Amino acid sequence: MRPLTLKGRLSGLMALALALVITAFAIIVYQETKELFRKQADQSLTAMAGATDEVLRDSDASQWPAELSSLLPPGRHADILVRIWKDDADQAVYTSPRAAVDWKAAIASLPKPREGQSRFFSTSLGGQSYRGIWWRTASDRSINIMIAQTAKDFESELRELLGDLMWIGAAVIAAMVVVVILLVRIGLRPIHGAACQLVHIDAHNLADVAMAPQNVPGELTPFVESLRQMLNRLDEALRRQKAFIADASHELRTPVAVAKSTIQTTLAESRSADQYRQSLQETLEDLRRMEHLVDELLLLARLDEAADASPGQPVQLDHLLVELADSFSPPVAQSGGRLMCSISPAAVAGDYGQLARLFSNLLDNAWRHGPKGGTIYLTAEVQTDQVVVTVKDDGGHIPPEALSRLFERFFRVDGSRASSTGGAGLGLAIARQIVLRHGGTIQITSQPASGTQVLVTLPLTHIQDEAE
Amino acid sequence: MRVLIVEDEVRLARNIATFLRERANYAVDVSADGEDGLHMATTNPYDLIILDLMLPKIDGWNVLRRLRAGGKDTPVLVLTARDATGDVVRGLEEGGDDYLTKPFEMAELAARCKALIRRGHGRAAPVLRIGPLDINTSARKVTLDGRVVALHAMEYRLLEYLAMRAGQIVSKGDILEHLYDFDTENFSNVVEVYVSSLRRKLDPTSRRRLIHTIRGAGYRLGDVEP
Repeated sequence: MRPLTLKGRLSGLMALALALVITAFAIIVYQETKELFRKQADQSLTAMAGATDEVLRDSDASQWPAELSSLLPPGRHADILVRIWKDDADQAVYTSPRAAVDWKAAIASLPKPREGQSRFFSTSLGGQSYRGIWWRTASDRSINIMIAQTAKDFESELRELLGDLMWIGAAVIAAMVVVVILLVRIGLRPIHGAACQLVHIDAHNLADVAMAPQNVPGELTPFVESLRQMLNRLDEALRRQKAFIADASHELRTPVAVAKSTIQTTLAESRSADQYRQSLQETLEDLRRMEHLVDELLLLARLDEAADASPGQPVQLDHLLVELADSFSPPVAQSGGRLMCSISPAAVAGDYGQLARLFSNLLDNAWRHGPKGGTIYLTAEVQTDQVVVTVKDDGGHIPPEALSRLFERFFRVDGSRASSTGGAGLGLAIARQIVLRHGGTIQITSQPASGTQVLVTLPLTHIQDEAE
Repeated sequence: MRVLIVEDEVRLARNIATFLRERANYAVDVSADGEDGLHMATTNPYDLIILDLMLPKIDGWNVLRRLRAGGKDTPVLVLTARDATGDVVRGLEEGGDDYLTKPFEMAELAARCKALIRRGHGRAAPVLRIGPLDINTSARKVTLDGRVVALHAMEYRLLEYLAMRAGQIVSKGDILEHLYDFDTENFSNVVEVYVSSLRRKLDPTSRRRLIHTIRGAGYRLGDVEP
């Protein structure tokens, strides 16, 4: 299920809290009122009992009924029951006129107060609830006075109060809910504003959106800030992507332009068979260049796609490097140079084809950009948990300002795009992607005196013995 | 007409040169980097420069800026492999006259070259008319009183150059510089040889003189411009 809107959630929670507070308030008011009524009733009961005790002490028994009925508030005879009896006699000394009540059962069910003390009680007599007092005189007289007063008056008042509290509470809660919804809406306006800005974002104006963190409330700052940073990262990625596509199309345009110019120039006049053959060969060369470029672009795209690749199979790196050196030695020797190797056994986890591509790119660079007839050094040595592979030439120099940009796609030290220097400037970009995918590092240093050195580290893995 | 191509893609430059020599009858020089190209452009009187923007040593924009700063008015056709308008705009703002995006049609390139050269010599019409003589620079066809005159390549090249500057005195040195590129051997009296063969074809009876010899100064096609 979809979570509630922020507005709904805030309004609901605040309304609930208000309802609880108001209900609690109503309950307290109700309880306090009830307690107050009870206290008043108890006071009047105590007063009545005291007055009755005085009458019993001061007057003659024959006068009691008249005296006692004069004590009772006029018109309330029906509501107040009185019984007076002696400790040693079951028979009542006095019973109020209307008390058609089973006193005995009531008395038996109540705890008896000590002599000289009194006790309040709440009970049901003759189907009505009563609040009463049981007053015992001291042992010299041992008279019991029980006065019970009906509770129906204050019960009905309490009911009325309860009804009032309920509807007033409900009305207050309803009003508060409306107010809360309005307040929440006003309070959340900045979020709405920020959201409105987001509506207008598309691929072309990612970074233009004025999502300044200082324009939103403090709570939203981290959210807006991270959103802004995300937009900037997206914008940057999109920009790089666009630049990459522009570069790629540029790289493809050049060989297409050359091939097209060859064909159109050749067709412009009638030529000899040799000239046609040469044109075809040149066009083939251009096609190969395009093919190579497309391959490299695809490889880069694939390397980008699966940045978090699985570790892959164990590869015996020394075998791979020796094989590469064997294939590189003849062309290097042919151009008057030398390839010197010092390779220690090492195994890494990865993709054989990619690792071969990595080191072949590096050797190729050293051969093409190093001095003619120079020596290329290929070394691999194990250092604790990694293998360090270096490819070094003895004189090629890369200016420092170009050094930091070597791994950029399509970057070439000489700035031009001519085929004379070889590739499209993707070799090192590919090498770096492969190294990163294998959890390694790559760096290039260059000194005019000692030449250019590429240093690759790859984490070691252990090849399990087949016997195990 | 003599054209300089500054393009580091060697085979593309060579193809353009071949095409322009064959199809437009231009003398063409080729340079493969910005530094050399700038030097050649400033030391030779080219009628047009075809300039790639991405060049080693000095890039195309810089070549243009320095060329214009040095007072050279030679028309420049900019070649670019990027269709980013920024590159093209910068190329034109640095003093380029026209541009083409790679890959392009060779025929279009040649047509633009012709148009730029015409404009460079202050002419708009593709047919140059000097008295009874019509020189169609697009079709490379010459007619005299409506009759087609068959000319050799070098004869046409000479006539086209003289016609572009019709009414002006053109020195022998000027003619030599605009007719020959560095690859073509020439000999000392080559101008006299081609002038006399042109005269024979255009004026076999020597009744009307189209090409005037100005003693000690050079030649002039047609009458003096008012």
